Amino acid sequence: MKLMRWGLVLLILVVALPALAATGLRLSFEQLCAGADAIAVVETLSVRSFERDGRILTATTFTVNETLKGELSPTVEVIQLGGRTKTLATRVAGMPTFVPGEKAVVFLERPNDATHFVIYGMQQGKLVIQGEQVMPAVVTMHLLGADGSDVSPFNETAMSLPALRARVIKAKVGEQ
Amino acid sequence: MKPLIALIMLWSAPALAFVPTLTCTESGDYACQVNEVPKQVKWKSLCINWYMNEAGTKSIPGAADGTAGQGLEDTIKASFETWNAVTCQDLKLVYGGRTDDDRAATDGKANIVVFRDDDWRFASKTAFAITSVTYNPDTGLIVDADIELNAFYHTFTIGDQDVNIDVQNTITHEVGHFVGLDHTPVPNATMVASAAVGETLKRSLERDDIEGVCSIYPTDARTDACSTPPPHVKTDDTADSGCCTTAPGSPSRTPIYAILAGIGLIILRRRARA
Repeated sequence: MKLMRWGLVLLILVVALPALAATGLRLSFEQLCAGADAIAVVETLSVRSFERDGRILTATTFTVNETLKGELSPTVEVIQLGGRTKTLATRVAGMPTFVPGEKAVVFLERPNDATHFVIYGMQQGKLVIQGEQVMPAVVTMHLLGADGSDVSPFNETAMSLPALRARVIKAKVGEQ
Repeated sequence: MKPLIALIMLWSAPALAFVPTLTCTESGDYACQVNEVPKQVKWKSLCINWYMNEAGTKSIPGAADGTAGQGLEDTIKASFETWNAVTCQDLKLVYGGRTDDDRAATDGKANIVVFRDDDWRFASKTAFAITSVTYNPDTGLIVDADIELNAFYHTFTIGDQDVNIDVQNTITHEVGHFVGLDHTPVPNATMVASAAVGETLKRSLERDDIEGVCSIYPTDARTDACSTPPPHVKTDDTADSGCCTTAPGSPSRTPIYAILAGIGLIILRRRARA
């Protein structure tokens, strides 16, 4: 019975969380590559929510396993709005979240004069790594791009890490 | 077990439908803890006050004294009124006026709409706006919600001419988060996650949005009106007056006649003892 209950809870969670993305522009893979200050293959070291100036923020520290764009130190810190403390939780729809030990490809943005990073494109800027595959943290949605056209989403299917590397390099070349 | 099944029915039946904000999620910062079952994030009171930061934004011409213009104020009010106009739900979002408070604190003292012209550092610059919804993770009851518009990186406009990032389009979507809805996968719904530059489609609600808000605050033929919110100023707030500006105008969950009856009962008991 207990097992069944957990199965049902899991079912709720899976079904109830299909689509979270940025409250802003939909970005193609090339736009993500161009807009991010850095791109890295990372592993989540720690996740810590805390209060500052009356707000709940979450600091996520990553070990950088591979830098695909930009220059990064061996560990980087992302600080974003939202999180959960003992008594309160703040939700910001579209904000990517991480768990310790999780491997991902992250598109990083350094806000003006800040020492921390945020995830560029919000949830669009996080790709999860499962085995040999890299896939978006959000399910596919056909959404409008900046010019009003349906942006061809790269995240229709998963891709391998070498394929992703090649696409980042290609996008970087396209920028130059 | 029955409530659990009801939850499943509620959230899993439609293949493509509105997504409620839940207290905890499968993983990440809000991961459900052992034996924790996700609950709907919602307001307890049915009258929720909100305030607009008086500064407005530089990109939209304001009043002579440098504060926000009437056009901007009316546009923001119209965004909230779009949700108030839904007849199958009982929540009322009541405008409390302008405030000098520009904080988006979680203290539950005021729900603010504020433009960030000078800084934007804890979310991506690609976001047009964000809504911070703060709630008790045990109950799901919201204690504070603030809408911040990213005027540091984007240019907002009102009206139908030369539309850039449309204020009404943006805020109508954000108010959906304010009331407890998350992004929906339903195409063309107002609660779809992204918007294009110049888009105005989200100024109005679609069926999916309406079904979403009505599922959270189903109508109960409520007849009591919301009272007028008191003004909110930053200095009062910091003094911790103990006021409850998130819902001061709410029809009390303890009706006045019940309070009077209670007082009467105490008096009668004291008389009986005497």
